[in-house]
Amino acid sequence: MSEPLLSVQGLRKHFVQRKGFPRPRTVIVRAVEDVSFTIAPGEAFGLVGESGCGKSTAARALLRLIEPDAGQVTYRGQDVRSARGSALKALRRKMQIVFQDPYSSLDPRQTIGSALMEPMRVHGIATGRDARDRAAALLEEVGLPPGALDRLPHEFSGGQRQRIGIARALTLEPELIVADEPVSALDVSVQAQVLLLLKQLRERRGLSFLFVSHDLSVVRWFCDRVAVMYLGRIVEEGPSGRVLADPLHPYAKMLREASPVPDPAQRGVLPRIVGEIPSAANPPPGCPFHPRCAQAMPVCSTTAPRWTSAAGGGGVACHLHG
Amino acid sequence: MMTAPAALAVEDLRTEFRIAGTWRSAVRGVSFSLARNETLALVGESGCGKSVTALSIMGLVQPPLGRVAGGKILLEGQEVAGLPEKQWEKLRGDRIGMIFQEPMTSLNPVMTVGDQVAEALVIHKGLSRAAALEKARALFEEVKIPSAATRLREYPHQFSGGMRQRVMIAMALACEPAVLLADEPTTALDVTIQAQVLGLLADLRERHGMAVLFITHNLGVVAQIADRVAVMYAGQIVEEGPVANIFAGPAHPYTRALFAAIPRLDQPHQALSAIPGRVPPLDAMPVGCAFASRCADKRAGCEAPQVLAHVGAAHRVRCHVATGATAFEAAGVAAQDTR
Repeated sequence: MSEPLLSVQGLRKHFVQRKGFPRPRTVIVRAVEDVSFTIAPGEAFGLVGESGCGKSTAARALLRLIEPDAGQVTYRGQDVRSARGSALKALRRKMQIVFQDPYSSLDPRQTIGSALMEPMRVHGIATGRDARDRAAALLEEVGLPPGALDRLPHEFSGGQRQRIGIARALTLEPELIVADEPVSALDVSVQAQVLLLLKQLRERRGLSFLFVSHDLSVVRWFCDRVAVMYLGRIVEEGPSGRVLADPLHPYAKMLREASPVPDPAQRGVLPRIVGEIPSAANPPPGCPFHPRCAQAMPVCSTTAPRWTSAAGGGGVACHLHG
Repeated sequence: MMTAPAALAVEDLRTEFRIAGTWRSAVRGVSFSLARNETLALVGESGCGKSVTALSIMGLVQPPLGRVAGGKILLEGQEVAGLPEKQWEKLRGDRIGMIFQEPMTSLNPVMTVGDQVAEALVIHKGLSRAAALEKARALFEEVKIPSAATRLREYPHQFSGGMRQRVMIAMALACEPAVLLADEPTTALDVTIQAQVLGLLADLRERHGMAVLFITHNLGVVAQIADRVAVMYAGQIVEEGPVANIFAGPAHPYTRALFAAIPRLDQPHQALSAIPGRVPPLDAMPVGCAFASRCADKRAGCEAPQVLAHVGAAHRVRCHVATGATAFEAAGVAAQDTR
C-alpha cells in the first residue's frame, strides 16, 4: 500500500465543563475517545454517526482547530501535533476545512473578494492584481460570477455561500479538504448541486477528502471508505459499499435500517429502536453500544471489544465478530 | 358523493404577505382534502409555501404581516377561514393540533412539561389541574417517555431533542384532535430518533384515527409514512396522488428532478443530477408554469397558466406536457373536479 496522505492514531479529545447550580460540578465530556484511520492520496473518507458521537470534534482536532489531548496525526510522514511556526503554517496550507453552516462561517462585513484574497496574502501566494485574478478564477471554478467578488455574504443564498466556503478552502491549493457536514444545511436540489461540485473538484484537482456527515446516502455516493462512530470511537470501518450495504456492527446496522429509503415498497421496515445515544460525559463501560444492543452478551458490559479485520475490507469492534 | 365531510378540506387557499408595500402570494390556490385516518405528505423545498399552508390552516397567518386572501378551509365541514381569534382559540389544540419542527424553541422553558400538556386539557376540556396532569401522565406513557410520572415535573431543558418532540406530540394529541399538522417534525432529529418518532406517529394515527398532514422535504420519510403525496412548488401543488404512483411514476418534471437529486443508499454508483437555476422570487412569479425556466422539457404552452389534470385515477399533475391538456381543456377538467 502506498504511503497514506493522512494518518490518525489514537486521537483523543476530552472537554472539561463546570456546570450546575448552586454547587458546580466538574464534568469530563469524552467527545473523542480513541479514533484511528488513514486517508490515502486522492481518497474520500467518510466519517458518519449521530449528533454527539464526536465526528466533528475528531475532524477539528486533527486539524488542530481544537488541540487534541492525545494521539498522533501525521501528514505525509510529518507530525502535525508537534509542528510549530512556519512548519505548521505550511501544513495548514495543505489541509483546509469547509464548514457546515454557510451562514455563520463567513464574516458578514467582509466582501467575498477580500475573504478569498486574505489567505493568499497571509501565505504569500499572491497579492494585488494577481490575487484578484486568482480569486475570480476560483469563483468561476465553483460556479459563481466574477461580479461576486465585491459583494457581501448576505447577498447570497445558502447554496451560493457554501460555494464561497468551498472556494475559500481552495485558495491555498490544498491536498486534503475536511468537509464537516457540507451539505446538511442545504435543500435537496441545492445539496445535489454542491455534491456534484465537490465531486468535480475532487476529480479535477485530485483532492483527498475527509467527509463528515450524518447522512449515509450522501456518504455512500461520495466516499470510497467510511468509518462509523459511536460515542467517540470508531465501531466499524471499511469500503463504503461493504459497510453501508452489509454492516457488521449492530450499531451500523441500526443506523442503516433507520435511514429511510425513498421507496414505498420497502416500508414497514422501520426498526424498533430502544433508547438514545448516552451522554459522552458518562459513557457505559465495556462496549459503549451494549445498553442499546439487541445482541448484547454479558462480556459486552465489562470488556471493550478488540478491533477485528472484516472480510471484504476494513474492520469492526464488536464481540460478535471478534 | 362522500357521506361524512372530510376531516380537513382546503379549497383554493391563497395566503399573501406584504413585501415592500405590495401583497404577494406565497400560497397560490392550494386545494386538497384529508380523510380520517389518512396521512397526506406535503413535499417541497424551502420557500415553496408548505409551512405557510399549515400556518394558514391553523389560523396563525394574521394581519398586518400576512393574510389569508382567499379560499376555504373546512375543518370537519365547518368553515374556519376568517374566524375571529376568540373562536380560533377554541379550535386550536382541540380539534386541530400542530407539531412544529423545532422542539427546542417551541416549548415554554419556564413551565414544566407536564403543565404544558395539561394546559390544553384544562382550557378545552374543563378538567381540574390534578385530573389534567393525570391525563398528561397517561399521554406521556402513550408517547413512550420513560418514567412518565417523574418526568412530568421536569423542564424542557432536561429533555433531549427526541424526548422534547415526544412532549410536543403528547401536547398536540391531548384533546384528541381530528386533524394533526406535523411541520417537519423529524427534520431536527437524528435518523434513529427519527425512526422512533415516525413509528410512534404511525401507531398513534392508527389508534386515534386522526387525519395527518405531514410536511417534509425528505422523500425517504414520505415513502415511509404517507398514503398520499402532494408536491408543492412556488406556492402551488404541482403533483398529487397515492404514494405508490408518485414514487413509481412521477409525472411532473419537478418531481422527477427532485428524485434525481437525492443520493440513495440502496443504489450505488447512481448518477446524481442537480436542478439548474432557482425558484422565481415572489415578486417576479411568471403567469405560466413556475418551473418552466428550470425545466428540461420546456416547450410552447408552458408560458400559459397550468392546471392540475388527471394522468391516472387519483393522480393529478400541473403540467400540460405530462397531461396533454391545454389550458382550455384543463379548465374543463378542473370544472368537473370541483363538481
